[in-house]
Amino acid sequence: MIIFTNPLLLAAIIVACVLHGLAIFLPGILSKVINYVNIGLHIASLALLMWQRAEVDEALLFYVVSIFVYTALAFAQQELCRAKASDKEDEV
Amino acid sequence: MTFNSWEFLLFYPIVALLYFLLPRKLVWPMLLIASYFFYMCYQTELVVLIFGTTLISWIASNIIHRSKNRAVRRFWLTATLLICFGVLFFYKYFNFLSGSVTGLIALFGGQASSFELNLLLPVGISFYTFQTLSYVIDVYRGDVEPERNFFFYALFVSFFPQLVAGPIERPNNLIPQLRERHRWSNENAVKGAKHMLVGFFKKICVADLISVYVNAVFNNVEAASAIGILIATMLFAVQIYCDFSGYTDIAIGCARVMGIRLMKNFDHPYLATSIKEFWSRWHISLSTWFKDYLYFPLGGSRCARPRHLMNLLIVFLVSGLWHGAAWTFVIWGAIHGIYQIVGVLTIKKRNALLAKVGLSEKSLGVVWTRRVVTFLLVCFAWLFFRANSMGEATVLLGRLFSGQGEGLSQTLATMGLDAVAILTTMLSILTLIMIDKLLVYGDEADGSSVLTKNGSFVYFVWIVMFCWMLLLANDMTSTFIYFQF
Repeated sequence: MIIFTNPLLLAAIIVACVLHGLAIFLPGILSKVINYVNIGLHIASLALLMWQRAEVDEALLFYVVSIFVYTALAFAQQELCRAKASDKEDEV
Repeated sequence: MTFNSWEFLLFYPIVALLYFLLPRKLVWPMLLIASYFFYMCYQTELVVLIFGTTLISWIASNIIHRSKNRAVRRFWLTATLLICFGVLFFYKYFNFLSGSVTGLIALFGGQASSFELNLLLPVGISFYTFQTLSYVIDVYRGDVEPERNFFFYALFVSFFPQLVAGPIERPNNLIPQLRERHRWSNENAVKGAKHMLVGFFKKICVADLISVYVNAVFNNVEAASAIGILIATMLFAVQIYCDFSGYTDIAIGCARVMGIRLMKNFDHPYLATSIKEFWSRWHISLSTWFKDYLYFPLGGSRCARPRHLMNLLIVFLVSGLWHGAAWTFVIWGAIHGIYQIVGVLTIKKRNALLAKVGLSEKSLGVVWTRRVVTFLLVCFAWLFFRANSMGEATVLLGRLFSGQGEGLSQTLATMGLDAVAILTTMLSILTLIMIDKLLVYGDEADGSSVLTKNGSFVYFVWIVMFCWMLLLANDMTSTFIYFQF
């Protein structure tokens, strides 16, 4: 799969996933700035995918991986918040 | 135009903008014009049908409301039912009936040539017909005051987000909201956008993706292997859920941005622990329609047991027929009817068995076992729903239970499921499950979820969706499954 074997594409997806993590867990304005940077990276990735002549299926996989990582991190954060909230309720 | 088209991406923002900018008096006429324009993009000439249905039901409802004479009220109700169902029957079932009669004659050795008409099935006819009939019946029952303004009533019937594939709205829910003036609200905009994004994700990234693998099996039944049929049927279960609920999410989202709340149509149906529960979670607007306007009038469960079971079977046979003019849909409905009957007949024994072995209904093992069994039962019925004909359904069943065909790796290759496809499909489905949970938490926790707090997520996903649409531009004309009903 070219997105995992091509160094440029692999770097793009790793950076995107790291930025997702930072955006989810960092507070306030920093999170928003990182999100906008990530948006730019995803748009640029489209050009990168075309330049590297990735197949449509693999290009789709690139974005699916990105969305999956973001959603998984958001879900993990949500679960942590709920766990903390229910622990506080138990203490009370 | 469908929701997943460039035209809609242009149409909707303009309508939404006008909705908030126009003076109150001009808002609903604008929505009416937009809704008819939306419909005419599908089939210009058949807009006459929806107009005619609207006109007949409006006239009848006003006469029914004004008349004190029971016979006159009943006459107009019956006439409206006959006309509206007549139109639906003619366009949807004429050729099916003609073919079936011919087949029956041939079965008994006779000869008859099938008389078929070259009819275009009006898009959304099953949906708007049921919506107008619920209005007329509710007026007859005295549950709803009839709408005096014909054009406002026409908006209720043709409101574009739910016109073509539901949810089938009730007048008590939709009409007051259409009448209200809704101001821009960040909360409505974000929640609406969330629904639309999830809907597009379900449709573009899951349903359309999976359809390729499903079609590889169902469009080539003679070569299908048992394992391929099993995989394709389960994938179809995911496909149809994502396709239909995706459409509903987009419809709900479009309306929500404008401050209008359409009814929920799906509630995690594959988490149901019984077929009865499945139907309280799947296509809720249709199942409640059948419950209120067919099942209860037939007597529901408040009658002798044989009559109750017959009522269940009738409702599901009609439901099957509603879905399409083909025996596969009738059999699909019949299977669900039989499931319901068996469920009613065995519920006490099943609960007694659980109690005997010391298991609680609410224990995790019992719940998940029931979920898996329910899912498998639903998938078995989906096989008929998806099959192109009864003949092909029979072939598929035969091959499935005989274990014929290739092994797993060859089957996956035949279906086009290479490593990329499998990974994409699995990640998409897992993402979908998590997004569903995130949306639920967001609503429960009064908007404190990540998805609501962090508005740039919305922009992020929009940009990603835009990129996908560019990538998949040649697939933009894929239609939603439920448009054929």
